[in-house]
Amino acid sequence: MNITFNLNGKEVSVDSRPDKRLSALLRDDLNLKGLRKGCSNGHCGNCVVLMDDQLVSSCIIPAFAARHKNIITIEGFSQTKEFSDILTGFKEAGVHLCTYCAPARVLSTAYMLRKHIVPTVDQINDNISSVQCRCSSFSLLKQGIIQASLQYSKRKTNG
Amino acid sequence: MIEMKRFKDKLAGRVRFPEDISSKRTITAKVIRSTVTHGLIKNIAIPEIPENIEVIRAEDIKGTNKITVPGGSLPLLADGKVMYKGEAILLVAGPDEMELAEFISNITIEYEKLEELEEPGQRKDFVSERLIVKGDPEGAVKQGWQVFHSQLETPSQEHLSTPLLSAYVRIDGQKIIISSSTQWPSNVIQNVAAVTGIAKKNITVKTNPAGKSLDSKIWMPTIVAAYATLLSVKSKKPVRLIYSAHEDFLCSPKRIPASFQYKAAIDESGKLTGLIISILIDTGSSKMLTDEILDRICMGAAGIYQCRNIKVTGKAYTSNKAPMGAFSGFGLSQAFFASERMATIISERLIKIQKNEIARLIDEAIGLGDETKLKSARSRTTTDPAIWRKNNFLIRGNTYLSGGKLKKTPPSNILLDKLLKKSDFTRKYAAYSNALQNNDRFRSKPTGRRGIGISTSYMGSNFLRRDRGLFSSSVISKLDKEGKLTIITPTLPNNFVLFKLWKQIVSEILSIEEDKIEIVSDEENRIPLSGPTTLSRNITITMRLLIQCCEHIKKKRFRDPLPLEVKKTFKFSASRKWDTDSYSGLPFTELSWGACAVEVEINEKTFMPKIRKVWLVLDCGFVLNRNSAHAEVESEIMQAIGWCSVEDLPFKGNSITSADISTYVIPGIYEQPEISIDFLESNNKTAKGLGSLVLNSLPAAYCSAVSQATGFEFTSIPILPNQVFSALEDK
Repeated sequence: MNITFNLNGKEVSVDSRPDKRLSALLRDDLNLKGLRKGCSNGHCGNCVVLMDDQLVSSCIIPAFAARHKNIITIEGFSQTKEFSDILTGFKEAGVHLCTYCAPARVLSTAYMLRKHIVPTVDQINDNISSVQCRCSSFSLLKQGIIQASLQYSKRKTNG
Repeated sequence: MIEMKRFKDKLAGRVRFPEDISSKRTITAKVIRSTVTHGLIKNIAIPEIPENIEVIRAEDIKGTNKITVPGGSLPLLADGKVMYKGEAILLVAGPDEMELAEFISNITIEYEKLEELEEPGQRKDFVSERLIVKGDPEGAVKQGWQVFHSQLETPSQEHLSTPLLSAYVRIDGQKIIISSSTQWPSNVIQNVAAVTGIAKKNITVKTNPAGKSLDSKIWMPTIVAAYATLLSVKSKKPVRLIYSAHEDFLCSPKRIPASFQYKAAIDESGKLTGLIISILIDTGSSKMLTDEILDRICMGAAGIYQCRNIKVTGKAYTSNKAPMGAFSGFGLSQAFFASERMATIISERLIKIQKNEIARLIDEAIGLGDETKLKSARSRTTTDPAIWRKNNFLIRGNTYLSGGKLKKTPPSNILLDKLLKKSDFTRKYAAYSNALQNNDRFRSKPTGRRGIGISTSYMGSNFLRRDRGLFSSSVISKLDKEGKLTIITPTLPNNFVLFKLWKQIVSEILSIEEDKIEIVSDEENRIPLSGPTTLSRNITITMRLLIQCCEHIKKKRFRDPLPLEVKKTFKFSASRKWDTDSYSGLPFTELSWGACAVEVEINEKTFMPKIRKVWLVLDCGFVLNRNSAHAEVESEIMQAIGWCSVEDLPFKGNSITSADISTYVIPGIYEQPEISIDFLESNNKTAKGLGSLVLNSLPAAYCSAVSQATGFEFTSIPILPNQVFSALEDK
């Protein structure tokens, strides 16, 4: 079946089997490898993408569900100013992440900041819980998210 | 700038893993695995093989059908017999995943099921055994004023860390190029050469990041690389093999479970006079690095206390579980759980004896109407777990279990003093004991069941076994005519901060700008023999070799013509004698020390012990980067909390009942307690290993805290809510 959707700001059209998952479509057919394979059952959160501004685990979303949607992967997101905010925030806080889960942490942080420019502790905790990995120091990650939020709100305020 | 780019690439998902590499010619590989736990393969029925699909059976392997590590091996493909559920039987590969799946679904394997291997109690066929005797332990136990017995157990633990196991292999002329997230490239090359018959010089390993290395998968990437290479050689095409999360869970190594039986004798002053310890460990279907792990367990089980008479018997048995792995601590975590929990058990049983004696003396004095005796009886105090430890710690001149004499007093006393002060242990321990006693005495409903536990431990960096395949390491540095410095190390650190620090150190020694320094992993096989990157070897070996290389170049750079090349190879210090076979001498080249206190409160509704706070005082020498060290410690705290409180592998006999990571709970941010970390830099010049210190310290402290809060002597982990419920109900 043919699926047309907006991927990282560009219209794409691909043929896909009906049983294909969105993660496989993005990784294998569209070569977007920043999206990690992970657990393949929606649990670990390493394969998250933004679909119409919602954070979804792409390994449990059928590829056809992307039809006419706006999909943003880390490849697209890393070209935005929001990415620079998160990068600066994480860098300033000295966040240590493993190479595997880092893109998912960035996208989940971006999703939260879009909803809550100044997130509460609970919102930050929920955000951290959305990606499962043993690599991080939660305290540093919290600080990184707070720093990212400061960068983000500063830029928004300055227009 | 370079570091910022690396960080940006990491966050932007630009760093690649073997699972990400592909080309138009790449074929996908799959492993067909055993569905039975123990059995004979009676027949493998393979449908007609399409031209574009490759199949490899055990008999098709031209070289050796096994993967070896120093002191152990396991079959690459099951040949006639399967030893665990999930064992590899066949390899298949093809260009189209759907077609491949269809082909696989038509393969049938018939088995004759065999009884699972007996429990260790009935076994005599141990794959590894250790008997270490110091002094006269039997005599000491016989003559002991008090002798305490206890059986302690530690469970298995799942690695559960990304990335998934994967390998990408391609052939370039005569060369085999393997992309792997391995901690041990030299082991990959040696084994792939043995399995395929290809010369080692024609095999290159390109190392990809390994994620959070927890040491359970040290040799596992070698197997994945060997499978992919076999298929690539046969098909003459690039091959990509990625384990699914289910497959990874089913057959990747878990932490070795261990059980300990202690007989501990003390004299009237509470001094430890004799220890008899029997240890059993389950290695799974094959012995892999088991000797190293067993040696470390034996050493750690004897604890860090003075005792002239010790006997340790360590035995490793095989089972029908997937081969077990080292995991963080390489056995010391299991051992220190046992020895430190035992230390608290000894002190608490001694407290009971002392309290009974005080009560008896008071009764006696009252009976006699003797005021002086009454006063004297009432003024008597009991010990506590901290006092007992301080009275028994090893000091300079004492000997290890192995007979080697301690040249310096370990910093355990200093660490413990600081820990007691920070955590207010002495007051809290007494208060919680009294509260529990009063609750029991008046049968009142407790207002809050709290407990506090402590533990002290060490971590030994580098290997105990003197096998070149394990301990070897070299670093090569080359300074070219343009002033560019290239440093070749066996592997690159996953830790971005450490990598950055290496550059800074090199830059400082040679006064070369950082952008003219390149640190690369050995992809040209210039360092043919090197042990795995584990046990803090990046800090205690590679970094020091790197410094030696640079110091050497510094001396020669203005004297000799450029280019200059220097190679430095690790050698054990001649002054530290250690004999693995007789288990004698000074075992560890370097030790880091740790002390931990854990305070818990039992939730009266969920029966879940909630950790109120964790205190850690650590001595790992000079701390290279505090931020990074805090992050490492914090992440290990969560791993340790998981091991002793919630992580419960779903084994039924030898089989994992649910190989699904969504059912395997690990602690998350909501379980993170308040944490206090102090670094005691007793040696402010040399950096030592930090890894595994928390895992060696926290579990025993946690178990002791929960035991105090419930009034029940727990001797195994994890402590689950149903066990807490039973413990409280029994009271």
